[in-house]
Amino acid sequence: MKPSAEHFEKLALEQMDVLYRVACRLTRDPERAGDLLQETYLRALRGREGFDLQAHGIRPWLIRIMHNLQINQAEHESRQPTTVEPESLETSSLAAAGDLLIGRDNLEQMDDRLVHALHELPSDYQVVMLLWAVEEFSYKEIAESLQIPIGTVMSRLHRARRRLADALRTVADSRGMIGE
Amino acid sequence: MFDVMPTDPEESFDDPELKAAVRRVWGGKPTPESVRRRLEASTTGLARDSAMTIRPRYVWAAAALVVIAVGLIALKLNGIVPVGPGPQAAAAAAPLPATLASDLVARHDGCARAADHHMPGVARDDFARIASDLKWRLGLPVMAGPIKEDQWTFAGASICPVGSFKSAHLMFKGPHHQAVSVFSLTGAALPSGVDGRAYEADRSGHPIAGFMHDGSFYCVVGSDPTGSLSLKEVRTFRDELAPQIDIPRPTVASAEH
Repeated sequence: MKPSAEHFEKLALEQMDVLYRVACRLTRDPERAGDLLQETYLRALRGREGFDLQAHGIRPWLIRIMHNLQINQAEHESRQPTTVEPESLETSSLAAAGDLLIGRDNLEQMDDRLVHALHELPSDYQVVMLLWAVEEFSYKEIAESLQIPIGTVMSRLHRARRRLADALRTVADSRGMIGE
Repeated sequence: MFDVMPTDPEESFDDPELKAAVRRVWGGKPTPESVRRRLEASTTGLARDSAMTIRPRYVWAAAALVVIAVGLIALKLNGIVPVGPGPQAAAAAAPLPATLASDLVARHDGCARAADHHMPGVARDDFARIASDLKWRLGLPVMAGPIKEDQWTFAGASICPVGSFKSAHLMFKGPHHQAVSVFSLTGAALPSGVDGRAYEADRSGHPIAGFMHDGSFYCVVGSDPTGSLSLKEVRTFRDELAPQIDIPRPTVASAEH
């Protein structure tokens, strides 16, 4: 079933927050996340003829576009010469720590160990964890969105959880929070 | 919180405690208002436009645009509507601020080393489409056109940072390792800029010729290992490319020309 242009635009824009959160995990930088989001919508709205409203709706389709764009962009950047300005270095290190994505007030109320451990995960694992935990995607939806087998979804999720557990245990050990 | 996961793909694992914890960290983050505004402004009606459905009001709008375009072309042919700096402006070009000149040169040199300057999603050889693709991403009209010199090749178009500003950046390569960059960026990069005025510099052996137009700054930056690419040649490139800016605006020659 193909939605009308107006309906398609409405459906697509309703997913903006979900897509922005995914873009933040993929890029680890709020500014680049905004660019990726905009690029995704450009592609999606121009290519709406290729969209068919399926069982899982528009979300996996949009995330698939975003994921492919990010892969292409990463490949393109890996071919470019790297000229890193001092300001960019500063921004990158902050973004890598995830501080730019979390409000200071919220951060203080959260379990900072978990925040740190989550942001230490590779991007691929972060996206799977986000889709599973926050967006409540099923394994099948995650697999369709990222164009990976369901088994890969499960193994990424499993490894992500193991890394989180290890990270939390290490921190707890170092702080003497676990008894002999 | 970290129990063993099920192995059956059909059975989605549930861990409410972990989900709640992750949600506290990553959940509930709405799209920032600035990003939302930018996106909504740029996508409104795009799906309908791409559907290629011609409605009566679009027919009238298209007809009006054709009339306006024909009128502008006629005015331009008669020299009434200038795009880019006029001859007087070029003769009295203002010096380009050193910081902006350095940023332009740094970006030019950085990108000139790349074998391929094409940005994914941007047209590769159709300059009208390149201008359109980059304009959409940058939010301002983009100067894009060919360099009509023998043996010069187009190396690609991309969105690149110049200092703290984004720019549309086209790169051309000459037959003897010369390189020419064509930049379009917001006028905020040149706060003292005056519409219609030319700006020039020669920074570290890089001739730069630009101008302000309709609140945006456009320029051409050149480099040549032998130092034979002159400011005069770069100025010629600029003057040939200036009419390619996609939305010419009627301007009144400023008193500073």
